[in-house]
Amino acid sequence: MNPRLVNLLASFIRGTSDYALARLEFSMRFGDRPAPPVLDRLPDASETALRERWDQIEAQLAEIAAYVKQVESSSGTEQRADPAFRWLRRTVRELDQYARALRWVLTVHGEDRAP
Amino acid sequence: MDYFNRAMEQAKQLQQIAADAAQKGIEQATPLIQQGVAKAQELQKTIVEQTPYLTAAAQEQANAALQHTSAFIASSKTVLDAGTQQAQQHLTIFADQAKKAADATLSAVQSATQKQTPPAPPPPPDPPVVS
Repeated sequence: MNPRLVNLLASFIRGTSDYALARLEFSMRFGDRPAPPVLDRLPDASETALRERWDQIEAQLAEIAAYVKQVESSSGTEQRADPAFRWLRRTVRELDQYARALRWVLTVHGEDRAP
Repeated sequence: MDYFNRAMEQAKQLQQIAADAAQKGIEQATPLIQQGVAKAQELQKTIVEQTPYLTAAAQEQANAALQHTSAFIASSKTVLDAGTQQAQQHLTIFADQAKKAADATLSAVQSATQKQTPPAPPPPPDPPVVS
């Protein structure tokens, strides 16, 4: 497996843990809002994980990005500046960057994810 | 600290401990795994204490959180019993179980604190029939 992909997947897995924490923190701070969507944790930085789980992870990430946008557009300045929301937004941006980089490597290097 | 905050804080700590453990080798991770088990037991106690006061729907979520927490504790035993070579693989499962326990706790807490919608008022009686 492409070593760059392995590194990106490992970073993405670490980012997933950060997101899980940020999600809990945000939910504690804004108990009256629905919780941000769940993001599954990839079991490991392997080709099998990529092949079997990546499409679902990307779909979950899209839901999460939509959630963050929705909070941004529906909240006042105070909520948008809240550390819990900023942490959530930062982790989502990082995950999004890793996901884009992964997609780019998959496209450029033509890794075949078909079973 | 109320149920909501206590359970959420414990779930957050559990998730943090497991994520830290997963980044380390088995020797360095061992104290964190033990800490994780203690935290999971605390979380179970918090959930169990609150369960009798919950609605049926919230109890179901609480039971799911308890099951995930038990699975987390079981996974920690597997890590500690595994040989050094297999430990890293089991640490991944351990971290995954912690995340599931934390996510399930959040669902349980949200279900428990959901505002109850008051029942709809009964429809007005039919007007008397005038013959």
